[in-house]
Order: sequence, then C-alpha cells, then structure tokens
Amino acid sequence: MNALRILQRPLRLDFKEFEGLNFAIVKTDANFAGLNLTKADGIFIENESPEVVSNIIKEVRSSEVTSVYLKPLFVKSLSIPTEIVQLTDGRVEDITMNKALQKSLEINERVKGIQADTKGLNFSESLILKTTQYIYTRQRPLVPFRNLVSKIGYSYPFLSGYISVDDHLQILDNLSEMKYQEYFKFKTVDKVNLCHECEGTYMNFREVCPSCNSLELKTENLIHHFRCAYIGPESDFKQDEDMICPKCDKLLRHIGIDYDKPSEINQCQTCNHQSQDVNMRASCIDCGHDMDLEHIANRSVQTLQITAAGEKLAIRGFGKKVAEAPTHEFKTTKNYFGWGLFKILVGQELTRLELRSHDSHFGVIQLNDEKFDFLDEKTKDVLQKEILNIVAQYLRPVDLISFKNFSTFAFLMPESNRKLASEMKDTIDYNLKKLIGDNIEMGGGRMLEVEVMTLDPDDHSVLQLLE
Amino acid sequence: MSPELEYIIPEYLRYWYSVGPDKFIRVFWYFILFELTRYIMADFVIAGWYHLFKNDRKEKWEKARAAFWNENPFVSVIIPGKNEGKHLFKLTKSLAEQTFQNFELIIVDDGSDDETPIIGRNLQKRGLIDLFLRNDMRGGKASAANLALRFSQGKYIVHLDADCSFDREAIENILIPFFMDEKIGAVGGNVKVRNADESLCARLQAIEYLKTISVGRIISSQLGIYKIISGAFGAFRADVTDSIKGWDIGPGLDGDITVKIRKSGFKTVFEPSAVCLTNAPSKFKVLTKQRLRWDKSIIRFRVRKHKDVYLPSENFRWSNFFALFENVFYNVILDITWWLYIVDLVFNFAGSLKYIIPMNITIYTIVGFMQMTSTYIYSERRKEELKLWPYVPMMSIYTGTYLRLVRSVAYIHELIWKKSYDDPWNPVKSSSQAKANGF
Repeated sequence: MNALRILQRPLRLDFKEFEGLNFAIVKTDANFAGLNLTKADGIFIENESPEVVSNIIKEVRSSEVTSVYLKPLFVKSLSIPTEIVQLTDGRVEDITMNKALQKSLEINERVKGIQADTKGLNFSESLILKTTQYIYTRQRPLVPFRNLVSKIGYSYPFLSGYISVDDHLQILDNLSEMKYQEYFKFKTVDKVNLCHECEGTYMNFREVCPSCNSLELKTENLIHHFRCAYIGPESDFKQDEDMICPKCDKLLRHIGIDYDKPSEINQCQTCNHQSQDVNMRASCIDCGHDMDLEHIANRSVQTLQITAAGEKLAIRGFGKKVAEAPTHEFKTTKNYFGWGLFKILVGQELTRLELRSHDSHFGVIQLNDEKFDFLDEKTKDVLQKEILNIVAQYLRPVDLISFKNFSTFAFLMPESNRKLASEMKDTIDYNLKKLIGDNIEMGGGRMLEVEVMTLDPDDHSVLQLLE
Repeated sequence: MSPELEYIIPEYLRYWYSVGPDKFIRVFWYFILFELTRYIMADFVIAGWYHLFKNDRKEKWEKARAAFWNENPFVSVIIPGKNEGKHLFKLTKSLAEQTFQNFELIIVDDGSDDETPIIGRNLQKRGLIDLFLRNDMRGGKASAANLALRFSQGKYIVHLDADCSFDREAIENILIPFFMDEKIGAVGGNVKVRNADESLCARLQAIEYLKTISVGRIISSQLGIYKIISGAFGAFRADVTDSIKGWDIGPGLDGDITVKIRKSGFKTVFEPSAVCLTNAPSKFKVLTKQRLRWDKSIIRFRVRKHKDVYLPSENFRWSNFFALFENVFYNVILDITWWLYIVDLVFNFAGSLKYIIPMNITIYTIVGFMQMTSTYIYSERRKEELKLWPYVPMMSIYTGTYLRLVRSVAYIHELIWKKSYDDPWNPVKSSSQAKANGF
C-alpha cells in the first residue's frame, strides 16, 4: 500500500495524546490506511504480529513525504523480534515513555528544518537522501545489525524497513557508490561473502580434492623413518598393530627417536589424486550453487555517519538551493530546547512547584510580526539566531530557552527570585531593542515586548500561552 | 746450444736438459706413473675408440631415439631440496622448453624456513608444478627424494637440483640410453658450470667439471666403471629405484645410489649430450666445505659401506670392483702416495727444488692444455669454453695442491673421527641413526 495514497485519502484518525504530543496509534495494517500521518507527532504500533508490524513500518518508511517517512516510530509489543524493532525508533517497553516523547520531539524539530523530499528521485538517489535524513534527524550513525533473515546477513535500521531483505545488496552497492562518497564517513564493521549466482551470504566452505572437487578426502600422516630415510603414508608402515618400515623391515618403536611425522597427505577416495593441498570451495545454502572461492563476491558492511555535505544534502536535497534551516545551529546554545520539549519541561516545573516552596519565573518575548514583514527569510534566520544567543548569554546554566516561530520566544528560570527575574526582563528588553535598532531600520512603534511572570502551580494558563 | 738460445731458455730448463731423462723420471715418477697414464693416455685412447665406433653408436642412438618417441614413456621429474623456492619458477620455465614433455613435476620442500612453501603451492595452483610436497620438519635430502619417489607415477625418475637449467633436449637425451640397453638402470647427465664468469673460484671449477665430469665420465662410462650419477641431473628406471628402495642417508647419496644400482646387477652410464648447467660455489670457503663433504663420503661409502664389492661373494662383479677400486685408488691411495712423493722430494732433492717446482708447473700446464684439447673434442660448447683456456696454468695449483689438501683433511676426518655423521647437511636425528647402524 502506498503511503502517499494514504495521505490523499484520509479516512479515520486514531490519535492519543501524551504530554501534549499527538501520537497515531496503529493497531492493524488495515486500520493504518485511514490515518493522516502528517498531523501525528509520532506513531505507536500496537500489534503482536511481526508481519503486520513490518508492513506498517514499510508503509511509513516507503512514503515519499519527508514528514511521514522520517516520522518517529515506536513499537509497543514485547513479542516483536529485535530485528524488526531495530527498524523503528525503539520499543516503548524498552525505553521509558518520557524518553520516547523526548526523542520524538527532537526528531520532529529536525524534520521541520528539512526541505527536501524524495519526489522525482530515482531509487538510488532516494536511498541516499533518506539515509542522510535519517542520520541527521536521529543524530546517530546508521549501524548495521546482524539479521539471519537478510540475504546479506545484515540489515540497516530505517532502510531495511522498506527495502526487502532479498534486495539488501542494493543498499550496500548504492551506499558505496563513488558519487555518493562525499556524503558519508564509513567504518567497515564486517565483510560478507556473497554467492555469485543468487547473492546470498549463507555459504558452506569445505575442503575438496584439487583434481576432481570430491569431498571424499582421506588424510594420512607421513612417516619418516630416520634409519633408512624412507618416508611414506602411515598405511605403508601399518602391519596389524605394529609399525614396520617397508624399506628396511625394522620396527618403529619411538617417535622422535626412530621416526617422526613431518606432514600429512590427502588422498581422494574418488579419483585417487594425492596431494598435500586441498581446494576450498563454497556451496551456497540458498541456491545450492557450488563455486571456487575466487568467484565469491565480497562486500563491506559499513557503519555510516554523515559529513557536512551529507547534512546539507539531508536538508536541501539533490541540487536544491534553499535557506539553511536554523535549528541545528542552536545546538551550540546549551540552554536551547525544542518547542515541544520546552512545553513539557514547563509543565514539569509547574508540577515541581506544587511540592517545593521556591519561585520560578517564565518569560515571553514577542516580536511585532508586522514590523518584520519586509525582511527576507535569510535575515529573519540571522536575527532569530542573534536573539537566542543574546538572551542565552544572560541566562543561568539551569535556565531554558526556546522559540515557537520567528516572532515568539520563551524562557524558563527555575528557582529564581523576583529581583533576578525583573533584572533579566530589563536586560533582555534593553539588549534586544539595541540589537534591532542598531541593525534594522524599523520606523516608529513597539517592535517587541518582553514579559516575565512568576509561575503559579495552580494556574496552568501559561501552558495555553505556549500552544 | 747457441749462447743466444741459452740466454732465452730459463735456467731450470737448461738444468733438466743437462741432467738428462733418468733424473727427470726419478723426480717426476709420480706424474709419469699415475697421472700421465690416466689423464692423458687414457683420454686419447678412449677418444680414439669413441670416434672409431662413432657411426655405430650414432646408429644405435637413432634406433633408441625412435623407440623412445614411439613409447613416449611417462616420466617423473623429482626435485628435493631446502630453501629452493627462489629457483622454482625459472626451473619450471626451463623444463617447459624441453623437447620431451610427457612428465610430471614433483617438488619436495624439505622443511624450508623461507618462502619456498608459498612459492611452491602457488606454482602448483598455477599448474606449473604437478605435485608440491612439504615436510614441516627437515628430514634430509635422502628422505625428501624418497618422498618424491613414493608419490611418483612415472616409468622413469629424473632427479634434478632446483638451481639447474637444461639444454632443450636434455631430458630426451638422458632417457634415450634406457632404450639402447635394457640392462641400463640409471643414466647420469652432463653437469657444467653456468657461473664461470662470477669468480676465479667458479672458473677453475668450470675447467675441473669439463675435465673430470664431462670427459672423465665419458671414459669411465666407456670402460663400464661409471660410478656416480650426479644428483644435479640423473635418470633412473623406476622399477630399479623401487627394488633398491630409493636413496639412503647421505652425504654422498648420489654416489651411493649409483653403487646400489650397480650392485643390483644394472649398468650405469653417462650421457654427455644431456647437458645441465649449475651454479658452482663462487668462494673458496664454500667450495672447501662442499669438497670436504664429498671427499668424506668416498671413505664412508666406497671404503666402508660398500666394502663387500671388493670381497669374493655370489654377487661379485669385476666391473663393480674396478669402478670402486679405481675411485678409491686414484683418490685415497694416490693421495697418500702424493704425500710420500712430497717427502721423497724434500728429503732427496731439497737442493733442486728451485728447478723441480717450475718444471712441475710447466708439465702440469702442458698436460692441462692437452686435457683441454680432449674436452674440446667432446664438447658441444667449444667456442664458449675457449674463454676458460687462459686459466689452465692455474689448475696445477687448484687440483694439484688445493684440492689435494682438502681431500687429505677430509680423509683424515672421516677415517679417524667419522666426521661425515656430524655434517649439518643432514639432520642430527638421521645422522645419529645412520652412525649407530653403520651406514
């Protein structure tokens, strides 16, 4: 089933809210068809069948819509095998719900900055783009994991969710294509041998006769009789229980004194060929093809990390020139949190205040939107970044800052007194006005408002402000 | 004699002219009695005989050649050795050029500690070697040759050294004698020195090989007393080597197996047209070690192990008696006699040594050139070997003094201390068994 078709034909929504985030709850792959996934902050799959779960993962990951195929995806059932769970963002039972929510928020924040999708791309370009976007949004390398079901013996998180296990060689081949090398940093974790007929990796290696490839090999020790310099297979010497030299008829009594065993010899029971060497051949378990080792195809299985070019590709796509998304640049501001997470943390601070006797303060910075309408997107991005950096300069390490959009910023000052909050308000107000006044010709009127309030544990209206 | 001529002729020649032939014979009795007869007269008598029956021999050769090609026998070429990997590829190339190709090539690596096993296995994989066998523990050359023999399938066995190269018809020519006489059990090839240009030591050996191996063996073969088939290039009937159970512990195992074949009732012959080139030691130190080993083996095998050849028995054969007697007489007995001769000279002619020594050098040089003339008659490489002629005068010191001294030391070592059993050429485990059992 095509995920794009699902989006075009929304039938029935089954959402559940967790800490202010809307999660689509998918219980069957049939029910899944009715969900409008674009509005979901994430997806919880609630089904015990690995097959159904795999189908749902495939529907999501094979979408052409960025906000769908990169959607945070969690499995709830304990009965789903690990190799399927690894295709999602985790099993909720394995990680706490809070972690899942936090993870979703972080992923969604990064997804927002992405402006490229896979429309119009061929398979290989689509695979590369999705890979860079996955690594970028999850902020972790793509690490292959062992999977017996996969034809190459390995699967990749995310990619294996929509590419069949029989076609995993395409993943290796496309990722290692020279023209895409600039986007990734590779680290080889294994090398796989593949059947040159069916490209399967499950092979049996065995020693065969170098002359006729028969498996019927008999190995014997060679015996060297020191006294007369005769040397031959052990069977030449065997007479009942004794060892008698066929050259000089002497009894061999003592290894190291009378004789030694300097090597071995193999005799083929099929063609009688004798040799110390044997040939190694491989037999494919999947297709039964028998081959010389030199005919086996070798591939590297690698962990992937994205480079700066890869990060750019994730955001802009192939050949598109768009403004760089600002979000990742705020990673340097330690106090910064994404808006969704910030909302949760403000909610948690209100709960905490019910148990503690201290005060906490909450501030909002509101830009007069209309005044900034004439600015282009790039300037707005720079201005937004400057505002965040200036505010963050005056915050304590425990304080938090976030923004909802270009015109709305908020900050939280846990365990702060009124005086500190008031000073903070004045400082921010003065500095931001100076920033704007010095750089942008705005004309008259109020360009921004800074408001700081003491949080009241009984008054949750502040949360409404954040919606 | 005119005064001018007297002035030109050296003093020592005038001396010998004035004292007359009686004194000459008295002083040079050793040379006249043993060396002139053996090396000069025999050479030319046999050469004349050889030429007399040249056409007859040629006819027999062509018949045998036709029979050989008609049968096209399967042959096993065996090469035992240690650390010979570096020579193997060149060797396979040299063998690929042979006119006769119906052979299997078996290499035995006797416990090499270099890259020989890698090279050998690689060549086997590429089909340049039919069977590569390796003993992880060194057993000595005899056991390595026996291992090759155990797995060989040919009707004839050709034993080679890995550092040799061969004339294109060498293997064909070494096998043809088997088709001339069914009593021939083994044929020796004609080993010549390839690296004569490398050093004076190698040049002198090149001349020695021409005289003793090429010509000397033609003569002993003609006389039916050929007693050493070189390990560097020799061919054996497989049934004969099986019946005598292969090689025994060396050193000197090539001479030993030749005697064993002769004692089992088969003939051994030399084939001068089966030419093999080998590298001789280029330093006197290495040469001395090699010759000490060879000379000790004469005492060990010819005097001790095969002493039954000299005694009356059911298997007594005059040809075997003469083959070994000639070898022992000309090497061991004459070596002792030479020392007696030296004592005779020192005690009886001390005042004349200034005339004796130059005359000695003169006559040995003349004899040397005469011998070179006989090698010239037999050789297929006459022109190439002409470059060795200027070094012939040095042979009187090389063979007359240096090799005699080495031989004397070897004989004393072997006769008194049986030093050949201590030679590192063989592993201790084999030598100690050979010594304990008197082999």
